[in-house]
Amino acid sequence: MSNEKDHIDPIENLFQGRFDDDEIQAPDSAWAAISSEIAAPASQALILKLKIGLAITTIAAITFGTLWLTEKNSKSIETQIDTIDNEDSAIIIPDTIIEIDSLKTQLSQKKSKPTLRSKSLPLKTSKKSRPLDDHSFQSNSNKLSETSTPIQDTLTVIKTAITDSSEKFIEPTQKIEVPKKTDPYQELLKKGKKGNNKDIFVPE
Amino acid sequence: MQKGGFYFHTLLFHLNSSCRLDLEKIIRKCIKKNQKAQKELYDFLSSKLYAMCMRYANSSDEAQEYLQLGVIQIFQNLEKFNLGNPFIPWAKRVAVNEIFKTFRKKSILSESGDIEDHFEISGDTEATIEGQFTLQELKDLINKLPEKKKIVFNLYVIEGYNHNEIGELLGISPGTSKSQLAKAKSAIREEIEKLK
Repeated sequence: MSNEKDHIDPIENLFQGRFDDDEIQAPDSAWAAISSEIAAPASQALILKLKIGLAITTIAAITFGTLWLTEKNSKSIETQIDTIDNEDSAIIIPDTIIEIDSLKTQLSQKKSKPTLRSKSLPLKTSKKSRPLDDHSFQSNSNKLSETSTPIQDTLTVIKTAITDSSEKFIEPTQKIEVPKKTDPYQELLKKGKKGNNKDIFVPE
Repeated sequence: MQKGGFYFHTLLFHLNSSCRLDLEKIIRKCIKKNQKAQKELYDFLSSKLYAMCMRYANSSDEAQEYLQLGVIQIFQNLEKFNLGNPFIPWAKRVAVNEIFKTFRKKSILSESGDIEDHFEISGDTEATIEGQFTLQELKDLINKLPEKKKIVFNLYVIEGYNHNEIGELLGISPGTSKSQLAKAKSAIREEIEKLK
């Protein structure tokens, strides 16, 4: 290249160096086309980053929302339970209350009068001695109402009945027949009269 | 006087150094796709490149098309630029290469010049040219040349390409480039004679 240009032509000499500072203002529209072209990859990368960011944000939002709703529901249930416990439990479990009330009523009824079994037991035991009178039955019933359990009631009634019956025991109305004692001699005499045994001496 | 000249050259050196550092920073930012830096670099380059494009184009629209193609190619190849070298010549070369790709696509250079390989430059090539010409008058002289001669003259005389490079760029032989250049010079000489 240097050899080619060692010999400088006058025409070349006229032009060379004159265009070094040659500048012409480019149209403004040129940059718009250029910037859109060279900025495209960056924009695509930015769009990709935005898409990734949006996806992450969406996932985070869904997760957070789900957790928040779960927490809110659990708190709501707790609040409802607390409210029910404090104010309105009868509405929620009326059957239970009714049942408890009926049980209380039954218990009070049991306490107020003796059970059928507690009535019958003293009667059975009294057969051996004598039937219970009204006084003893009433006293037993009063005692029964003060006891706590049916078994204890029953035992108490039995004990009372036995005690009362023993205290008020009177001579039995029926006589017990005791078999008579036999005399062996008289027996022999009877046999001798009836039988053929002549050898037996029978004094007159 | 000498002292003042020394200070002037020192100041010029610092200015050039700072400008060079700024340009390097801008280029580095452009490589990272910084849009603000890209605009700064475009503003620095566009008027120089547009003037060059006007030398090869037949209209301002065509020159703008070449400018856009060239600048896009410069930005896309910034990573290949060695920061130690002057930037403007490199940018002009990249732009010129892109412009001539377009020329080849448009078959602007399909005209065969092989028949002129043995063209002998006639006339008084050594004769001095008297008189001063403005830049616009010189541009007008170039623009009066036929298309292929204008391109070869611009590449050889203005841009500093040699005939081998011009041959590769235009897809012609170096001899054809030489003959085209000789014809261009002769035509310009004739025009200058007419102006006298």
